[in-house]
Amino acid sequence: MKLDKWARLKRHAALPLAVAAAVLITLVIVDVRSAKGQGTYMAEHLQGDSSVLEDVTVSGAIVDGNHKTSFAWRGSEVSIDTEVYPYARNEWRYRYGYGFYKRIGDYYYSASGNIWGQEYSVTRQENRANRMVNYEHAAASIPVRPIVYKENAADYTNKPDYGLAAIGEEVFFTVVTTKGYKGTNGIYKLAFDPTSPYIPPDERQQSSPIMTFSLDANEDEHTGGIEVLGLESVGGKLALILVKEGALVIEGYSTSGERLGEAKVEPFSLSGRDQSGTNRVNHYESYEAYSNDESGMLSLSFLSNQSARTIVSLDFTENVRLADVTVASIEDDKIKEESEYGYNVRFITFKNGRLYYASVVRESEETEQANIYGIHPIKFMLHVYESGELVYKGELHTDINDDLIRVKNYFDQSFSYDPIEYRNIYDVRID
Amino acid sequence: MKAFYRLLNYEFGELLRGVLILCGGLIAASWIFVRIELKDYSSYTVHERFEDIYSSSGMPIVFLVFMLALLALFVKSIYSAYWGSKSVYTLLTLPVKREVLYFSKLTAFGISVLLLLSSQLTGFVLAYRYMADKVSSYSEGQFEMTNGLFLAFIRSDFMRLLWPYGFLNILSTASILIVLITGVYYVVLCDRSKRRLSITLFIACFFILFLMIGARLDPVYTYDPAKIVTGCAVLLAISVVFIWHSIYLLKKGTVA
Repeated sequence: MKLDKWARLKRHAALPLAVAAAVLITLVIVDVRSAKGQGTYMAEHLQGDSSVLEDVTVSGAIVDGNHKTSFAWRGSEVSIDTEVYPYARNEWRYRYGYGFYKRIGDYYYSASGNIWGQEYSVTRQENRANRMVNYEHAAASIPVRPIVYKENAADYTNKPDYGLAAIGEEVFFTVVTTKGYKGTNGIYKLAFDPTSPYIPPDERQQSSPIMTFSLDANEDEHTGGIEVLGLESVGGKLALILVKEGALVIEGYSTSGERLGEAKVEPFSLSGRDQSGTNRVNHYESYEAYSNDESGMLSLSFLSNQSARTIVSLDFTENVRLADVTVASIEDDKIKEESEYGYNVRFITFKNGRLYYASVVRESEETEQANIYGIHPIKFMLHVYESGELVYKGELHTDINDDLIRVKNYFDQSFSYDPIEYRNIYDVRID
Repeated sequence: MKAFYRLLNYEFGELLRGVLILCGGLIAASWIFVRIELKDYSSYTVHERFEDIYSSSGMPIVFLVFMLALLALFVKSIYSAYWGSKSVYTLLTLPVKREVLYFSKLTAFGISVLLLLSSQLTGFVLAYRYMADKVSSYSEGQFEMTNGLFLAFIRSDFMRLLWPYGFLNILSTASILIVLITGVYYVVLCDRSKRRLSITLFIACFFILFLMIGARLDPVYTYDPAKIVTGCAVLLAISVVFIWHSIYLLKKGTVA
């Protein structure tokens, strides 16, 4: 009889089993896939009044080789959006490193100078699917010369790419000259030619200055001289960053070279210039610039020899106005910032009378593994300053450090934080 | 339609016992193998991620073995019609179109593959739950991975091969399964009708399968969407040839 039952069951087994399998698969897959929005994203207010977060959105993305979760933190709410990549990928993630390509828009720029010919050349390329394509080149003859020639060497305040800024399709360049230069510097509008096919030199487009300024002050020993730190863009305007006569001077220009005004921060001194041996605050030339085109705010962050940042915020909405100067230091014994020049892991902006400073940090603990970089938990911190005082400190809690569970109880010294297997925070921004 | 339904159930019934044993075996295997892998886990041991435990427990290979066993079961079920009862002669004289005969068997194979896949999924989820329970029971849950099942699905290339994300990858997984099912049936039909040279086509498609599965399992360095599209197109085209020629052989009656 038992055999009969089996035979009868078999006679109608195909469809019910197929449906059962399909339903099971659908339920599990839908359940798993909808879990993509179930990670932890929780804002914790550590210090101060969270009302300073009104009208402010802190955004970023947590990314590994397989997926990307964009988050937007407003007040106490965090909204997220997760995208699972169709296949795991090792995206070439741009992080500005000093002297590395400078990314502006879709292009990666590098600039170099030839002091003998006073020729400066800028190349740019696009990155598509991890490949550099569309090489283009622009040259500008800028009549600046070192006062004292050195054999095969030139001094600049920063890497030459600090002199690059773009507004829409237009790209501008200035030479980041030190006090050791004479001649006439200027802001040049670059004309790019493709490098392939070959274009003979006399048929190439010429880059022309939209404004010029004299470096004659550098030859007069009685004045403080003039140093060019860089060129930035904000809200369709150009900001020329200068240090002259013991002050940081930010001059604003329109894209046609019309002067919009200037702002001054005094006293301001650069590291290594003053030989008198006094122990006063001075700053390193390689500043970081954060511009918010919508609000017209430009914030410049200078690391100082007091291991703090002097953050100078400028309002470019009308003319050029100094909005705020804050000395901020978020690092302590336990908190270390992710990387010194990581533009994408930090954002600083001035809004509603307050300075907002969002940053990816690493928390170091006193353990036997403490010397292995990358093993320290990642935190995402927000600091808010008002009139130079810290008024708010908050942290966004995420699951990012769950990726480090596998290194607990693990004693290999050769650990590396592989961005395919471990999540990172990128694209940090404050609006 | 009624003829198709009856034939489908007949063909599936031939496979049922074996398929159910394979499905049960696969679920049991993932449970046991992951359990063995987790045997020594405690607060003092290194905790690998679940997807890595699943791989290092050997489950992907076990799944491959079960898949091959299922294909062997198909082959056996086709040949068994020529042994003993010689039911193939009954089948070929049934008053139904030969296409119906062909597709009923193919559908039975398809449902069997679906059942094996659902068992793999069940085994994976059960093993994950086992690990999550175990890990949460000590050290105040500091080894727990938040939303770990989702992460295990997207971080395991093996799971992405079986449970793909994105239209192209779904197409690619479907092409692989379709070419395997139609191919195995085709090879046996070729063998029965003494057209053994045609079997080379099935062997040829292993080259593409090898490249495609290789790219899917090592996406970071070898995945190229254009190549996957080409691979899918070729595999599906080969499947159409398999189906067309299989029906042709059945109609000619050369398989008897």
